[in-house]
Amino acid sequence: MLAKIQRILGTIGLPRLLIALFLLSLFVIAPFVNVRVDTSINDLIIRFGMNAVLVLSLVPMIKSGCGLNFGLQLGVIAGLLGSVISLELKLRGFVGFFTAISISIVLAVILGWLYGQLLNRIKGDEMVVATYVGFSAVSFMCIMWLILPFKSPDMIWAYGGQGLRTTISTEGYWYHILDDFLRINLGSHIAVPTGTILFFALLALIMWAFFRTKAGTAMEAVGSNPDYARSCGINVNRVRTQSVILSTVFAAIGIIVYEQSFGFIQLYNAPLMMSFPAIAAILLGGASVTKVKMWHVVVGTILFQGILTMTPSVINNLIESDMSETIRIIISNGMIIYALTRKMKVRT
Amino acid sequence: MLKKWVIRCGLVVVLIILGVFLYIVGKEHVIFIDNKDITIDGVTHSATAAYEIWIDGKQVGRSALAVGKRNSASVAGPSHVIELQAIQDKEPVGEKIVKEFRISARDYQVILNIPALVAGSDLFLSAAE
Amino acid sequence: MNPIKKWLIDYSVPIMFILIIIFATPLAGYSMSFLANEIMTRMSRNTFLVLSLIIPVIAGMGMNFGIVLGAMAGEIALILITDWHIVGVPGVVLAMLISTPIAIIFGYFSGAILNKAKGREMVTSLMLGFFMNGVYQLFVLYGMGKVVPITNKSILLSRGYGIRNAISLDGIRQSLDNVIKVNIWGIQIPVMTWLVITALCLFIMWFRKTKLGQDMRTIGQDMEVARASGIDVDRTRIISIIISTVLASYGMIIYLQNIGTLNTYNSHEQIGFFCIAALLVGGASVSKATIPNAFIGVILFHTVFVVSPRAGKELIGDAQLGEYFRVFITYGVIAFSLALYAWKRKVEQENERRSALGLHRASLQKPGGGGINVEKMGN
Repeated sequence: MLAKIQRILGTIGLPRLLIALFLLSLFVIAPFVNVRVDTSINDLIIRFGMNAVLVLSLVPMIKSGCGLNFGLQLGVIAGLLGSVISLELKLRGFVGFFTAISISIVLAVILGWLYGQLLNRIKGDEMVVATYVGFSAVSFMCIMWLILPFKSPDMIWAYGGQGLRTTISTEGYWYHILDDFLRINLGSHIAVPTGTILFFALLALIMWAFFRTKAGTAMEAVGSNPDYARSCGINVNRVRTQSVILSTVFAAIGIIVYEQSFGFIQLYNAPLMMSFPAIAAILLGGASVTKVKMWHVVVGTILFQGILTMTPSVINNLIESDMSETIRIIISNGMIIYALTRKMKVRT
Repeated sequence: MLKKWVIRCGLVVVLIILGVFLYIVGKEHVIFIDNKDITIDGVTHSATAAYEIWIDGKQVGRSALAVGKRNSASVAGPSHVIELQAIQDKEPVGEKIVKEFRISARDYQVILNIPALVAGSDLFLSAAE
Repeated sequence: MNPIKKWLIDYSVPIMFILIIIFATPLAGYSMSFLANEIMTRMSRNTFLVLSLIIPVIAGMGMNFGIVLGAMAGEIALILITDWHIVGVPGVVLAMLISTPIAIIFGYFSGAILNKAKGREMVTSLMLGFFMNGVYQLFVLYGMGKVVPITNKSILLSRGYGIRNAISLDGIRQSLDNVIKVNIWGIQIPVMTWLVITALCLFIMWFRKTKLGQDMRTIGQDMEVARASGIDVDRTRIISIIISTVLASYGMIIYLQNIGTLNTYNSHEQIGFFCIAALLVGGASVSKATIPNAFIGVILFHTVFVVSPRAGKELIGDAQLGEYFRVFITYGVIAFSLALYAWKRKVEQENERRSALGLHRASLQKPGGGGINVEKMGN
């Protein structure tokens, strides 16, 4: 009996358990500190929809052994470019949304390919280089956002006339385009953004199906044992690049889904730290640097966004101070450190 | 083995003593200098003259401190010297008064009362709030 | 590979920076004396911090992004002495005294975690820096005033606890710098600060020759060999991080006494990136860092830092561009150097593997075949 409990604990992992309990306790305390549980659940569902695809994008690279994608920003940049181009072309509604996605995918494939080439040349040290490549790319785009010739009055600085604004509203274009699609209203305070959730489910299904194909299994083989994969005739480098492209594409789509729900396109330094919350979320869900399953994405995003939603409201009312940012920093970075310090299967 | 630990403990003790020393020597004090009437132990010392003031050799304020006024100076460390020169009609009157005094490391702000000092009372220095 | 080509690749980053400087400096149009003074100030401010990165590199821990923890220890000490109203050089020395035990604890914690993430030290120390930032906030924004008694109300937030965003360090402002100030050719030189920096250089040079230093070198070259020769690898690695963290805390105090203001929550964030970028720009790599690297790096990096906003303005008409440019350069330098290093290392490993295979095959021809473990050589 005890052994069985220990095994379950081992699978769940102590930090994960602690955080899940913490989240549960927050929900329990909520009504006692004047925080409505139903509004909170509503917020949680919305935030889940916003972030899930970004977390999903991490899966291919973990499976192929490229590690945690600290260079997520590259995909985000592709998505941002796609969005602003779509807005520049004054496309609205679903047309605008899907144009943004299409343009982003093209850009993401290119960026992903380049990124993949880089990662293949530095096998083993991917993560720290990826972080800085991501940072550099965001900084570089800061320069670009200023000088690229965009003209749409909704996007550029009012008085300067040149250069994109820091935040651009998607209102009037494709704000909540997925959220409102088939929206289900449960009671007065919960409105489920069905479209977004369905879209995520669709993308998750696509990814799951991909890993059942020949290319997908090759990717998993490369991740678990590159030498064995090579001996089976798989071109390891090419598969790794494919996984990077896949991750970058999904990240591009992810940021667009985020934008339609959030309502704003955020340029300049906003994407700088975007890889960390996504990585923390997937680690929270049970993934490790080398292993991941699809349900890790769902569980992780729920837990992580749950903490993000509940901590401000509950703890602030409890202690009358705003500790939420600090707690978020500690939990999300702590999770990543925990994952990095697990023993890894030695790969040659 | 034991010798190593003794040396280490000794080193820590030395550092702590150094720390305390630095604390005392480096502690900043704000001296509020009052040229006001003050009553100590039932005896009232009244402010009668304006004074030019030097603390540790540096003049406090550009001109003499008039009766009823307060000036302030920042110093560091425990021991200081104050020099007072009474001024009447813009001319120095009488001898310079020189007094050494110590400020406890516990006090950040102290009040120095000129009339009390001039009268020779030992209680011319008191801790401010 | 052609030795000139190899040299160019090894030193590509400093070369790039020199080119940028040659290009941008005339564009920026600053006077020589302004630049010289600015660079001297920045050197006296930053060199100590950059030097503190060297010891972990010797021990094979890579770029210690965890110097942020040392910086935090220094900041906590400075908050305390500001609360206690300790001024002047005694204030600075007392701050260093107080920061030491804090930095030792942080360094120990850091080192222990890094030992559990062997092979991924740099990412882990990066995340550790972010994580400790949260813990620091918890302590300084919530603990100080409540748990830790603070009597100086002027540094607390209006709600009664938590330190303000910016604290004036007037009491110790430039106190170390001003102890002896010399003016040569119109450049102000803070002699005392430089004496301290020189002392650190001498310490590093001496340390390299000690048994501990040699042990670290061995670990840096090959952990297995070090372990086999009886060196306590884990303990030595932790010690290298502790030393680095303590030095970083002193460096941060020197840095802040020059600036004169403490940005309680921001000062340390950029410090890690800037110092590592500077070291890399000076020609250091993940496995090799020398004292000249630190000096040259600070000069090159900070010159670019100073001239790029104005140069950007002249070039494109927007100073903001210059700002973004220099942030881009900072991150880009780190990314490029790290990628270059990783790529070179992979190439070396491949060559080793091939030559080992060659030996293996050759020895197989001989009677009593070879016993070289190819797997091990590949690592």
